[in-house]
Amino acid sequence: MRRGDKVLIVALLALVLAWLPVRAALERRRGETAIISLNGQMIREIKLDQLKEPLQFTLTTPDGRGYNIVRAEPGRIRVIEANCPEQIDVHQGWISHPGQSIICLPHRLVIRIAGGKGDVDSIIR
Amino acid sequence: MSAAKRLVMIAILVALALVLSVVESFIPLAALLPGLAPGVKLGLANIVTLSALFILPWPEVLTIVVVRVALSAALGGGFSAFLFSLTGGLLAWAAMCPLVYRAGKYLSLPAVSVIGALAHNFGQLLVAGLLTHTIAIVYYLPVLVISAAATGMIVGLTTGLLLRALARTGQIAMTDRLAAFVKS
Repeated sequence: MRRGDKVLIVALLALVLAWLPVRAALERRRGETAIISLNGQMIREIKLDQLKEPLQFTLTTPDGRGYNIVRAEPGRIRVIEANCPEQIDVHQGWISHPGQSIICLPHRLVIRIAGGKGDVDSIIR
Repeated sequence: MSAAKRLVMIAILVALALVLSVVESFIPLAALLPGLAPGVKLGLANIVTLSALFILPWPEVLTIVVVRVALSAALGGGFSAFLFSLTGGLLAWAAMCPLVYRAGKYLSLPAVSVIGALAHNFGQLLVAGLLTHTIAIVYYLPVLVISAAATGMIVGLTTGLLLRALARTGQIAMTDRLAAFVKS
């Protein structure tokens, strides 16, 4: 264990510890709005707290070859089925807190719960 | 090292890195560790990148990384996967190069590879963010830091074992930079 190793450990611990309260604060607030964007364009906004019953719809990529089936229930949302190779979005399951997101990279699909640090004023063009 | 040996060495290392990538893709991390951020990889190919920095001059290690990424993409995986591998591999190489040559007195091999893994993961977060035009993925930063630490340790320890064995059997020269890390 050399001198620099200890510095690195402390730095990493500090980084992680600094993040925890931020994350806890984010998770304490239930998400209200899910913002769905394809290719960087917002295509749909769903007020999860105002949903009375489940809402399910299919999104298709511009070239028509990719699809994701999204299901929104009161307070939460997820991707039920998709035809992307790795199924990372499907495996992720439900998201419900501000700042959480489901991303399907091959289809350039992002479903994000607004209200946290990743809110509208931080979209990069 | 003669030109011929150098060429063969590069080829062997590229092949090794490719095999490690393939083997690593068989380990279903997402299933074993549920709840972890999607896209977490072991990064075993970095064993080759880090080891190569002690065996060959650093520009040739860059060749190894680029060729490995290109071949890996050709063998399977779309354009996104290629971009991810490339960014991760390049940033890891860029982060570890100066450390290998200068930080032997201050850092251990696992520490260097942890920093390489951090750079690798950060690169992947960057690509993901650019591709999706959001910074929502920053939410996954802490998980990636922790996984970089874990995988970096494994890679660093393995690299140390490999390099010591190679040096002991005379396969590679005990250069200054190698001695700084391997002999305490």
